[in-house]
Amino acid sequence: MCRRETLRGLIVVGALASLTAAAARAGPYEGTADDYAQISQLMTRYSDGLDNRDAQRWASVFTEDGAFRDFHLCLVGRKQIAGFIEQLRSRPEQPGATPRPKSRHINGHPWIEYLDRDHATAHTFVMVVGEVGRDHVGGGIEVTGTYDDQLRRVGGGWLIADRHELSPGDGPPPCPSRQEPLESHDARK
Amino acid sequence: MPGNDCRARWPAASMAVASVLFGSGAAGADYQGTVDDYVQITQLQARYDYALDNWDGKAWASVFTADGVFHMGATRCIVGHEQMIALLEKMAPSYANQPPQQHVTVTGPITYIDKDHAWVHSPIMVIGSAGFIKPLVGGTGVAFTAAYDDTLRRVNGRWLIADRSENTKTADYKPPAACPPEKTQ
Repeated sequence: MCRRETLRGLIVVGALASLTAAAARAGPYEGTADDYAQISQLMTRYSDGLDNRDAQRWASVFTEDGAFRDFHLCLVGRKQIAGFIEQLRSRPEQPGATPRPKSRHINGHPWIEYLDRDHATAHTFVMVVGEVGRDHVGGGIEVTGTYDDQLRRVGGGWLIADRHELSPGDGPPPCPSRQEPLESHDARK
Repeated sequence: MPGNDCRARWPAASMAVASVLFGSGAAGADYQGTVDDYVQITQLQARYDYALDNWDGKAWASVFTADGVFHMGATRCIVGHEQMIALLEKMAPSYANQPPQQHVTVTGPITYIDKDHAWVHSPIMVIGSAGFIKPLVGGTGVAFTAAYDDTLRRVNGRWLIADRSENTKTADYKPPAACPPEKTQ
Protein backbone atom coordinates (compact mmCIF):
# COMPACT_ATOMS: atom_id res chain seq x y z
CA MET A 1 0.00 0.00 0.00
CA CYS A 2 2.70 2.42 1.12
CA ARG A 3 4.92 1.55 -1.83
CA ARG A 4 2.04 2.01 -4.25
CA GLU A 5 1.24 5.49 -2.94
CA THR A 6 4.88 6.53 -2.92
CA LEU A 7 5.19 5.29 -6.50
CA ARG A 8 2.08 7.25 -7.45
CA GLY A 9 3.60 10.36 -5.87
CA LEU A 10 6.84 9.92 -7.75
CA ILE A 11 4.98 9.49 -11.03
CA VAL A 12 3.14 12.79 -10.41
CA VAL A 13 6.41 14.57 -9.64
CA GLY A 14 8.06 13.01 -12.69
CA ALA A 15 5.19 14.11 -14.94
CA LEU A 16 5.42 17.65 -13.55
CA ALA A 17 9.16 17.74 -14.20
CA SER A 18 8.62 16.48 -17.73
CA LEU A 19 5.98 19.15 -18.41
CA THR A 20 8.25 21.87 -17.04
CA ALA A 21 11.13 20.71 -19.25
CA ALA A 22 8.85 20.63 -22.30
CA ALA A 23 7.67 24.17 -21.56
CA ALA A 24 11.28 25.31 -21.28
CA ARG A 25 12.02 23.82 -24.71
CA ALA A 26 9.16 25.67 -26.38
CA GLY A 27 9.97 28.72 -28.49
CA PRO A 28 12.88 29.31 -30.82
CA TYR A 29 15.59 26.65 -30.73
CA GLU A 30 18.62 28.12 -29.00
CA GLY A 31 21.09 25.26 -29.33
CA THR A 32 22.73 23.11 -26.71
CA ALA A 33 26.23 22.70 -25.42
CA ASP A 34 26.44 19.58 -27.60
CA ASP A 35 25.58 21.62 -30.69
CA TYR A 36 28.26 24.14 -29.80
CA ALA A 37 30.89 21.45 -29.22
CA GLN A 38 30.01 19.74 -32.52
CA ILE A 39 30.15 22.98 -34.50
CA SER A 40 33.45 23.99 -32.87
CA GLN A 41 34.89 20.59 -33.78
CA LEU A 42 33.61 21.01 -37.34
CA MET A 43 35.57 24.27 -37.64
CA THR A 44 38.68 22.58 -36.26
CA ARG A 45 38.39 19.62 -38.66
CA TYR A 46 38.02 22.05 -41.55
CA SER A 47 41.23 23.89 -40.61
CA ASP A 48 43.14 20.70 -39.93
CA GLY A 49 42.09 19.16 -43.26
CA LEU A 50 43.03 22.29 -45.18
CA ASP A 51 46.35 22.92 -43.42
CA ASN A 52 47.42 19.32 -43.99
CA ARG A 53 46.12 19.23 -47.57
CA ASP A 54 43.91 16.27 -46.67
CA ALA A 55 41.33 16.44 -49.42
CA GLN A 56 38.87 13.87 -48.08
CA ARG A 57 39.01 15.22 -44.54
CA TRP A 58 38.43 18.75 -45.77
CA ALA A 59 35.51 17.71 -47.99
CA SER A 60 33.95 15.64 -45.20
CA VAL A 61 32.97 18.71 -43.19
CA PHE A 62 30.58 19.77 -45.96
CA THR A 63 27.18 18.30 -46.77
CA GLU A 64 27.14 16.14 -49.93
CA ASP A 65 25.84 19.16 -51.87
CA GLY A 66 27.82 21.67 -49.80
CA ALA A 67 29.57 24.68 -51.30
CA PHE A 68 32.76 26.60 -50.62
CA ARG A 69 32.87 30.10 -52.03
CA ASP A 70 35.42 32.89 -51.86
CA PHE A 71 36.34 35.80 -54.13
CA HIS A 72 37.48 33.53 -56.97
CA LEU A 73 36.29 30.01 -56.15
CA CYS A 74 32.97 28.28 -56.35
CA LEU A 75 33.25 24.64 -55.40
CA VAL A 76 30.02 22.70 -55.19
CA GLY A 77 29.72 19.17 -53.83
CA ARG A 78 32.31 17.07 -52.02
CA LYS A 79 33.89 15.85 -55.26
CA GLN A 80 34.75 19.38 -56.43
CA ILE A 81 35.83 20.43 -52.94
CA ALA A 82 38.21 17.49 -52.56
CA GLY A 83 39.38 17.96 -56.15
CA PHE A 84 40.61 21.45 -55.36
CA ILE A 85 42.99 20.16 -52.68
CA GLU A 86 44.11 17.26 -54.89
CA GLN A 87 44.91 19.81 -57.59
CA LEU A 88 47.00 21.84 -55.13
CA ARG A 89 48.89 18.73 -54.05
CA SER A 90 49.68 17.68 -57.59
CA ARG A 91 51.25 21.01 -58.57
CA PRO A 92 54.96 20.48 -59.34
CA GLU A 93 57.34 22.53 -57.23
CA GLN A 94 59.14 25.27 -59.11
CA PRO A 95 62.84 24.40 -59.43
CA GLY A 96 64.97 26.55 -57.14
CA ALA A 97 61.95 28.09 -55.43
CA THR A 98 62.07 28.43 -51.64
CA PRO A 99 59.47 26.13 -50.13
CA ARG A 100 56.58 28.15 -48.78
CA PRO A 101 56.32 27.91 -44.98
CA LYS A 102 53.34 25.95 -43.80
CA SER A 103 50.32 28.00 -42.82
CA ARG A 104 47.72 27.37 -40.19
CA HIS A 105 44.10 28.48 -40.14
CA ILE A 106 43.24 29.83 -36.70
CA ASN A 107 39.61 30.52 -35.86
CA GLY A 108 37.90 32.69 -33.30
CA HIS A 109 34.79 31.50 -31.48
CA PRO A 110 31.93 31.01 -33.94
CA TRP A 111 28.89 33.21 -33.34
CA ILE A 112 26.02 30.81 -33.96
CA GLU A 113 22.38 31.61 -34.57
CA TYR A 114 20.01 28.64 -34.65
CA LEU A 115 17.23 28.98 -37.19
CA ASP A 116 15.62 25.76 -36.07
CA ARG A 117 16.81 22.46 -34.64
CA ASP A 118 18.59 21.45 -37.85
CA HIS A 119 19.69 24.73 -39.42
CA ALA A 120 22.01 27.47 -38.20
CA THR A 121 24.20 30.28 -39.41
CA ALA A 122 27.66 31.01 -38.01
CA HIS A 123 30.11 33.87 -38.37
CA THR A 124 33.68 33.03 -37.45
CA PHE A 125 36.84 35.10 -37.51
CA VAL A 126 39.73 33.36 -39.25
CA MET A 127 43.37 34.23 -39.71
CA VAL A 128 45.92 32.30 -41.70
CA VAL A 129 49.27 32.46 -39.97
CA GLY A 130 52.52 31.42 -41.61
CA GLU A 131 54.61 29.30 -39.28
CA VAL A 132 57.35 31.10 -37.44
CA GLY A 133 60.20 29.09 -35.93
CA ARG A 134 63.90 28.33 -35.94
CA ASP A 135 63.86 27.00 -39.48
CA HIS A 136 61.13 29.19 -40.86
CA VAL A 137 61.71 32.64 -42.26
CA GLY A 138 58.85 35.05 -42.61
CA GLY A 139 55.58 33.83 -41.31
CA GLY A 140 53.11 36.03 -39.50
CA ILE A 141 49.54 36.87 -40.41
CA GLU A 142 48.96 36.18 -44.10
CA VAL A 143 45.20 36.51 -44.45
CA THR A 144 42.31 37.48 -42.19
CA GLY A 145 38.63 37.22 -42.80
CA THR A 146 35.29 35.90 -41.74
CA TYR A 147 33.57 32.63 -42.53
CA ASP A 148 29.87 33.16 -43.15
CA ASP A 149 28.38 29.68 -42.87
CA GLN A 150 25.05 28.00 -43.35
CA LEU A 151 25.05 24.84 -41.28
CA ARG A 152 22.78 21.84 -41.53
CA ARG A 153 22.32 18.87 -39.21
CA VAL A 154 22.51 15.67 -41.23
CA GLY A 155 22.13 12.28 -39.58
CA GLY A 156 22.58 13.86 -36.15
CA GLY A 157 25.83 15.68 -37.01
CA TRP A 158 26.35 19.32 -38.02
CA LEU A 159 27.91 19.96 -41.44
CA ILE A 160 28.64 23.02 -43.57
CA ALA A 161 26.04 23.47 -46.30
CA ASP A 162 27.55 26.72 -47.57
CA ARG A 163 30.73 28.53 -46.59
CA HIS A 164 31.57 31.99 -47.87
CA GLU A 165 35.03 33.17 -46.92
CA LEU A 166 35.10 36.92 -46.96
CA SER A 167 38.30 38.93 -46.62
CA PRO A 168 38.51 42.71 -46.64
CA GLY A 169 38.64 44.02 -50.19
CA ASP A 170 37.16 40.87 -51.69
CA GLY A 171 34.58 41.20 -54.40
CA PRO A 172 31.51 38.99 -54.51
CA PRO A 173 32.07 35.27 -55.10
CA PRO A 174 31.62 33.99 -58.66
CA CYS A 175 28.44 32.14 -57.73
CA PRO A 176 25.58 32.84 -55.31
CA SER A 177 24.68 30.54 -52.46
CA ARG A 178 22.73 27.52 -53.71
CA GLN A 179 21.09 27.01 -50.35
CA GLU A 180 17.56 28.16 -49.66
CA PRO A 181 17.65 31.64 -48.18
CA LEU A 182 17.40 31.23 -44.42
CA GLU A 183 15.53 33.68 -42.28
CA SER A 184 17.72 35.03 -39.54
CA HIS A 185 16.89 34.39 -35.92
CA ASP A 186 16.83 38.10 -35.14
CA ALA A 187 14.60 38.90 -38.09
CA ARG A 188 11.93 36.55 -36.79
CA LYS A 189 11.68 38.37 -33.46
CA MET B 1 -2.29 2.53 10.52
CA PRO B 2 0.32 1.91 7.85
CA GLY B 3 -1.75 3.74 5.20
CA ASN B 4 -1.87 6.98 7.21
CA ASP B 5 1.87 6.81 7.94
CA CYS B 6 2.44 6.38 4.29
CA ARG B 7 0.33 9.41 3.32
CA ALA B 8 2.35 11.46 5.72
CA ARG B 9 5.61 10.21 4.23
CA TRP B 10 5.20 10.24 0.44
CA PRO B 11 4.87 14.01 -0.02
CA ALA B 12 8.16 14.41 1.80
CA ALA B 13 9.78 11.79 -0.42
CA SER B 14 8.32 13.49 -3.49
CA MET B 15 9.63 16.85 -2.36
CA ALA B 16 13.10 15.38 -2.03
CA VAL B 17 12.92 13.97 -5.57
CA ALA B 18 11.47 17.25 -6.89
CA SER B 19 14.32 19.14 -5.28
CA VAL B 20 16.81 17.06 -7.25
CA LEU B 21 14.80 17.25 -10.49
CA PHE B 22 14.28 20.98 -10.40
CA GLY B 23 17.83 21.67 -9.30
CA SER B 24 17.21 23.93 -6.32
CA GLY B 25 20.48 22.77 -4.82
CA ALA B 26 22.52 24.38 -7.63
CA ALA B 27 22.27 27.95 -6.29
CA GLY B 28 24.62 29.30 -3.71
CA ALA B 29 28.14 30.45 -3.06
CA ASP B 30 29.71 27.21 -4.26
CA TYR B 31 28.21 27.41 -7.72
CA GLN B 32 30.84 26.19 -10.19
CA GLY B 33 29.02 26.78 -13.46
CA THR B 34 27.87 24.32 -16.09
CA VAL B 35 28.84 23.55 -19.67
CA ASP B 36 25.77 25.54 -20.74
CA ASP B 37 27.02 28.56 -18.81
CA TYR B 38 30.39 28.30 -20.54
CA VAL B 39 28.84 28.03 -24.00
CA GLN B 40 26.52 30.95 -23.36
CA ILE B 41 29.37 33.17 -22.13
CA THR B 42 31.61 32.22 -25.05
CA GLN B 43 28.78 32.98 -27.47
CA LEU B 44 28.21 36.32 -25.77
CA GLN B 45 31.84 37.26 -26.44
CA ALA B 46 31.68 36.04 -30.05
CA ARG B 47 28.55 38.09 -30.64
CA TYR B 48 30.19 41.15 -29.07
CA ASP B 49 33.19 40.88 -31.42
CA TYR B 50 31.14 40.27 -34.56
CA ALA B 51 28.73 43.12 -33.80
CA LEU B 52 31.53 45.58 -33.06
CA ASP B 53 33.53 44.64 -36.17
CA ASN B 54 30.44 45.25 -38.28
CA TRP B 55 29.43 48.47 -36.49
CA ASP B 56 26.07 46.98 -35.56
CA GLY B 57 25.14 49.10 -32.55
CA LYS B 58 21.92 47.27 -31.75
CA ALA B 59 23.56 43.84 -31.76
CA TRP B 60 26.50 45.20 -29.77
CA ALA B 61 24.26 46.74 -27.12
CA SER B 62 22.21 43.55 -26.89
CA VAL B 63 25.04 41.64 -25.22
CA PHE B 64 24.80 44.02 -22.25
CA THR B 65 22.13 44.17 -19.57
CA ALA B 66 19.69 47.08 -20.01
CA ASP B 67 21.66 49.03 -17.39
CA GLY B 68 25.02 47.65 -18.57
CA VAL B 69 28.18 49.74 -18.38
CA PHE B 70 31.01 49.86 -20.92
CA HIS B 71 34.10 51.55 -19.48
CA MET B 72 35.74 53.32 -22.39
CA GLY B 73 39.28 54.07 -21.32
CA ALA B 74 39.95 55.02 -17.72
CA THR B 75 37.37 57.70 -17.24
CA ARG B 76 34.49 57.41 -19.66
CA CYS B 77 31.38 55.34 -18.97
CA ILE B 78 28.81 54.36 -21.55
CA VAL B 79 25.66 53.29 -19.73
CA GLY B 80 22.63 51.51 -21.16
CA HIS B 81 21.68 50.37 -24.65
CA GLU B 82 20.70 53.81 -25.93
CA GLN B 83 24.12 55.32 -25.21
CA MET B 84 25.89 52.28 -26.64
CA ILE B 85 24.01 52.43 -29.94
CA ALA B 86 24.64 56.18 -30.16
CA LEU B 87 28.36 55.65 -29.52
CA LEU B 88 28.79 53.26 -32.43
CA GLU B 89 26.74 55.45 -34.75
CA LYS B 90 29.00 58.35 -33.88
CA MET B 91 32.27 56.41 -34.23
CA ALA B 92 31.54 54.42 -37.40
CA PRO B 93 32.07 57.21 -39.99
CA SER B 94 35.56 58.04 -38.70
CA TYR B 95 36.62 54.41 -39.23
CA ALA B 96 35.04 54.08 -42.68
CA ASN B 97 38.24 54.76 -44.62
CA GLN B 98 40.63 52.96 -42.30
CA PRO B 99 41.81 49.36 -42.77
CA PRO B 100 39.22 47.11 -41.16
CA GLN B 101 40.09 45.47 -37.88
CA GLN B 102 38.66 42.41 -36.19
CA HIS B 103 38.33 41.63 -32.50
CA VAL B 104 39.35 38.17 -31.31
CA THR B 105 38.46 37.33 -27.73
CA VAL B 106 39.76 34.24 -25.99
CA THR B 107 37.38 33.25 -23.21
CA GLY B 108 39.36 33.48 -19.99
CA PRO B 109 38.83 31.97 -16.56
CA ILE B 110 35.30 32.41 -15.29
CA THR B 111 34.66 32.95 -11.59
CA TYR B 112 31.08 32.26 -10.55
CA ILE B 113 30.02 34.43 -7.64
CA ASP B 114 26.70 32.63 -7.44
CA LYS B 115 24.26 31.05 -9.88
CA ASP B 116 23.44 34.39 -11.53
CA HIS B 117 26.63 36.42 -11.22
CA ALA B 118 30.13 35.84 -12.53
CA TRP B 119 33.40 37.51 -13.50
CA VAL B 120 35.50 36.67 -16.50
CA HIS B 121 38.89 37.99 -17.49
CA SER B 122 39.56 37.44 -21.21
CA PRO B 123 42.54 38.24 -23.41
CA ILE B 124 41.65 40.19 -26.54
CA MET B 125 43.53 40.90 -29.77
CA VAL B 126 42.53 43.39 -32.41
CA ILE B 127 43.85 42.24 -35.76
CA GLY B 128 44.39 44.60 -38.69
CA SER B 129 42.92 42.85 -41.69
CA ALA B 130 44.86 41.20 -44.47
CA GLY B 131 42.86 40.40 -47.56
CA PHE B 132 43.61 38.14 -50.51
CA ILE B 133 42.85 40.63 -53.26
CA LYS B 134 43.61 43.79 -51.40
CA PRO B 135 46.49 43.10 -49.02
CA LEU B 136 46.05 45.96 -46.62
CA VAL B 137 49.73 46.09 -45.77
CA GLY B 138 49.45 49.29 -43.78
CA GLY B 139 46.91 47.88 -41.40
CA THR B 140 47.91 44.25 -41.21
CA GLY B 141 49.04 42.63 -37.99
CA VAL B 142 48.21 42.70 -34.33
CA ALA B 143 46.99 46.23 -33.78
CA PHE B 144 46.13 46.02 -30.10
CA THR B 145 46.14 43.57 -27.24
CA ALA B 146 44.40 43.87 -23.89
CA ALA B 147 42.00 42.00 -21.66
CA TYR B 148 38.34 42.47 -20.95
CA ASP B 149 37.29 42.40 -17.33
CA ASP B 150 33.61 41.54 -17.31
CA THR B 151 31.00 41.32 -14.63
CA LEU B 152 28.26 39.07 -15.93
CA ARG B 153 24.67 38.74 -14.81
CA ARG B 154 22.10 36.09 -15.73
CA VAL B 155 18.84 37.75 -16.82
CA ASN B 156 15.84 35.55 -17.66
CA GLY B 157 18.13 32.57 -17.96
CA ARG B 158 20.63 34.26 -20.30
CA TRP B 159 24.08 35.56 -19.37
CA LEU B 160 24.70 39.21 -20.25
CA ILE B 161 27.51 41.69 -19.60
CA ALA B 162 26.63 44.01 -16.72
CA ASP B 163 29.99 45.78 -16.73
CA ARG B 164 32.94 45.62 -19.13
CA SER B 165 36.26 47.40 -18.76
CA GLU B 166 39.37 47.14 -20.89
CA ASN B 167 42.45 46.30 -18.96
CA THR B 168 45.75 46.82 -20.74
CA LYS B 169 48.08 46.71 -17.77
CA THR B 170 47.51 43.73 -15.57
CA ALA B 171 46.19 40.22 -15.67
CA ASP B 172 44.77 40.52 -12.14
CA TYR B 173 41.08 41.12 -11.93
CA LYS B 174 40.15 44.38 -10.31
CA PRO B 175 36.53 45.45 -10.00
CA PRO B 176 36.04 48.53 -12.16
CA ALA B 177 35.45 51.82 -10.42
CA ALA B 178 31.86 52.96 -10.33
CA CYS B 179 31.13 55.84 -12.64
CA PRO B 180 28.11 58.05 -13.11
CA PRO B 181 25.98 57.72 -16.24
CA GLU B 182 26.91 60.02 -19.11
CA LYS B 183 24.35 62.15 -20.79
CA THR B 184 23.17 60.68 -24.08
CA GLN B 185 25.03 62.38 -26.90
